[in-house]
Amino acid sequence: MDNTMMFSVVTFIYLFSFFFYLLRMISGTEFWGRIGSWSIMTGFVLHTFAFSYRWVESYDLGIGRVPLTNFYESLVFFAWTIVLIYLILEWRTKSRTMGTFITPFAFVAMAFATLSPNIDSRIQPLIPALQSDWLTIHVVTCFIGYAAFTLSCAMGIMYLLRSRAEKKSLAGRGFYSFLPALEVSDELNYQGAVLGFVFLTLGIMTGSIWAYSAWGSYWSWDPKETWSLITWFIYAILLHARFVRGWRGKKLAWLALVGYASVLFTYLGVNYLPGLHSYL
Amino acid sequence: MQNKVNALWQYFSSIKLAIILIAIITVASIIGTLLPQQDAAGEFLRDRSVWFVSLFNFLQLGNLFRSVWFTALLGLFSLNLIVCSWNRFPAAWKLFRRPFQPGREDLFRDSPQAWRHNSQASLPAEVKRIEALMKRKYRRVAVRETGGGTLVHGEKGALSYLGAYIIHGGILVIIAGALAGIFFGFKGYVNIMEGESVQVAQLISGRGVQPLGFTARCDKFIVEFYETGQPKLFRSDMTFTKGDKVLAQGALRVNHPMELEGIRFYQSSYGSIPEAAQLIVYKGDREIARIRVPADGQAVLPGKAGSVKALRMEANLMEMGPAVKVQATLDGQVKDLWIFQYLEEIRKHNPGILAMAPALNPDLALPYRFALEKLEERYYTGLQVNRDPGAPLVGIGALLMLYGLMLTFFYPHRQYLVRLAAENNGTSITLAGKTNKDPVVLKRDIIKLMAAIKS
Ligand code: HEM
Repeated sequence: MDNTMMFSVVTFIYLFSFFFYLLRMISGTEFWGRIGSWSIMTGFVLHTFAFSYRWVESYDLGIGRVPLTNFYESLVFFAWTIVLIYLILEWRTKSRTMGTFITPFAFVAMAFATLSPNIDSRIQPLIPALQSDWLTIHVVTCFIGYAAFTLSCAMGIMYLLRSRAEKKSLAGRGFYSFLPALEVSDELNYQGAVLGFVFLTLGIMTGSIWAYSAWGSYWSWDPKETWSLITWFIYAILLHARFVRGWRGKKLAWLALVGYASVLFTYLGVNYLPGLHSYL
Repeated sequence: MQNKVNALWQYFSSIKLAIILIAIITVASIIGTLLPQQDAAGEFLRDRSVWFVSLFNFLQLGNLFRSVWFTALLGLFSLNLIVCSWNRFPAAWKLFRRPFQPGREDLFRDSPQAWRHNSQASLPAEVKRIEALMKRKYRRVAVRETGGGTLVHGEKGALSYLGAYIIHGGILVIIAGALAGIFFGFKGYVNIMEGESVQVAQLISGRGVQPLGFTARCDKFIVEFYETGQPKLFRSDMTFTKGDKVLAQGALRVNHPMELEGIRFYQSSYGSIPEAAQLIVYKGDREIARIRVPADGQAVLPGKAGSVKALRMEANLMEMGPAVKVQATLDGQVKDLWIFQYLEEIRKHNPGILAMAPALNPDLALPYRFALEKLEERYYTGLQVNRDPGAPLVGIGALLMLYGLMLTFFYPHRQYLVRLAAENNGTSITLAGKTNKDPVVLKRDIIKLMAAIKS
C-alpha cells in the first residue's frame, strides 16, 4: 500500500466522520458523536502516518524532500491542518457540533486531491526554484493560516444558522439545539480570524523572503501575491470593524465568509487568471 | 479656516476612512489581477475599439499597480494611518503608563466562591507571602492599603496597548522601504557567455544601462537535469574583479544569490549559442575526413578536395534538431546545403521535407556527403542584477509588525488583584482580575494563582 492509497482511505474516513457527526445532531444521541470522534481520530492518525510515509518514500526514491511542494501535497497538508485544529478545539471545548461543519472542508480538500484526475500525486524531484527551506516554512505557515480561516468560516456558518433558527423560534429544536450559543460562535469566529491573520502575515513574509532569494524581488504584484494581499486586507477590515467599530454577530459572520471566499480564490482560483507563474 | 483644517484632520484620522480606503485598494487589486498586465496588456488591447484602448491607457490599467492613481491611493492610506495613529497614540500611551487605580471594589463583586479563601495565618504574614509570590509571577506588583484591607496588585502585558501602534509603524516602515527601493535601487539583468565578462547591467523595460563598478565574469555555466527531464540545477561559477583584484568568487545558484558592493546577482535564465560544428565527410561510401567548422569560419578538407564554410548554425531547426548550413567548395563546385544531425529520423518520419528545397537535399553535393556529428554549443548565463537599499527597511518593518501582532493578540494586558483582610484570627483572601482581551485565559490564570496561594 503506498501513501496515495492511504490518503484515499483517509478521504473516506473523513466523509464517514462527517456523517456520524451529522447523525448525532439529527438523531440527538451522543453515541454517534463518540463514533464520529473515534473515526476522525483514526483518520488523523492514518493521515499523519501516510504523510510521514510519503516523506520516507521520497528518500527511498533518492529525491528526499518534505512532501509540501506540489498541489497534491498542499491539499493533503491543508486537510491535515484543518483536522488538527478541529481536534484541538473538540478537546478544549468538549463540543462535537463543530465537527459537522468542519469535517466537510477536510473531506473536500482530500477528495479533490485524491480523486481529481488532473492532480499529479507522484513524488517528483524539485526544480531549482523550489529547492528552498523558506518554501517549506512558507507552505506550513500559509496552510495553518488557511485552516484557521476555515474554522472562522465554519463558525460564521454556524452563527448564521443559529441566528436564523432563533428568529424562527427553532433554536431549541432537534438539529438546531446543538448549535452553540451565538456569543460562542462569534468569539470563535473572531479567534479563528485572528489566528489566521497572524499566520497569513507570516506566510506572506516567508513567501517574500523566498521570492527575494529566488528571484531578487520580494514583491512583484504577481496574481498569487496580490490575492494573498487582498485576503489579508479583508481580514484586516474584519479585525478593525470588530475591535474599533464594535461589529459583532451577523456582519462579522458574513465578513468571515467573504474572507474565506478570498482565501479559496487565493489558493485555487488564481491559477485561472492571466499571469506569469503559479507556484503550486 | 481652522475649522476646515480640523474637519479634514478628523476625517483623516477616522477608522471609517481606513476601512473605505482598504476596501477600495482591495477592489483595485482585484481588477489588477483580472486584467492582463504589462506585456500581456498589449496583446489584450489588439482588436479593441479605439475608445476602449484610450480609456484603458488613460487609467493606466495595463500597469495598474504602478499607476499614478493606485500609488495615490497607497499614499492616502499611509496618510490616514499616520494621522490616525498620531491622534490616538497619546491615549494608548497613557493606558500603558497608567498606574493601577486603587479602590476598584467593584471588581471583587463578581468573584465566585472559588476565588475566595480563608487562611489561618495573620494578615501581615499573608501580605508578605503573597507579595513575594506575585513578584515571581508578574512584571509590576504594588501593595496598597485600602479601606477594606490590603490590596496586592500584579499585572503583565501592559505593552499590548501599544501593539496596534507597533503594527501600524511596521506597515509604514515597510512602505518607506519599498519607496527607498524604487527611488534608490535598480532592477536589471545581464547575459554573460561562458568565459566572458560584463561591467554594466541592462535595466529592465529598456531604461538604459547601469554600470556595476566592477567586472562580473562567468567562468562556467552548468545545467543538470533529472531523469524525468525536469531541470535539477542551474549554476554559474562567477568571478568578480576590480582591476587586478579578485573581489569574490563562487557558485551562483537559484535560491543562492551573491551580493557584491550592495548589488545582488540571481541565477535566472540561461541559453546557448552554437559555436562550431563537427562534421564527417564521405566520398562515395568512404569516410575521408572529420572536420571542425567554427561558427564564423571554415575548414579545409585534406587532399585539396576543397573547403567547408559555415553559413548558419541552429540548435533546433524547425523541430528537426541540430542543423548547420554550409557553403561547400568541392572540386571547384560551390554548393549551399543543410546538414542535419538526425538525418535518419527525418528520412523515416518526414521524407518529403528533404525534397522541398535544393539546399535540404542531402545528396546535393554527390559524390560527397556530410554528416553532422555534433554541434558544439557555448552556454551563456542569464542573471538578474538588483540593488535594493530599501530591503533591510522592509525586513525591519516586517519584524515590527510581527512583534506588534504578538503583543496585541497573544500577550494582552492582564491585571490580578488580591484583597486581604483580617478576619477571626486569620485572613480572608479574595481574587479578582481584569483584562483587555480574552477573559477565558484570565480566569484560568486566576484559578492557577489561587492554587499557588493555597499551597
Ligand atoms: C492593512 C493595514 C492595517 C493592518 C494590518 C492593521 C492592523 C491592526 C491590528 C491587528 C489592530 C489590533 C486590532 C485588535 O486589537 O483587535 C489594529 C488596531 C487599530 N488600527 Fe489598524 N491596521 C491597518 C490599517 C489601519 C489604518 C489605515 C488605520 C487608520 C485609521 C488603522 C487604525 C487602527 C486603530 C485606531 C486601531 C485600534 C488601536 C487601539 O486603540 O488599540 N489601522 N490595526
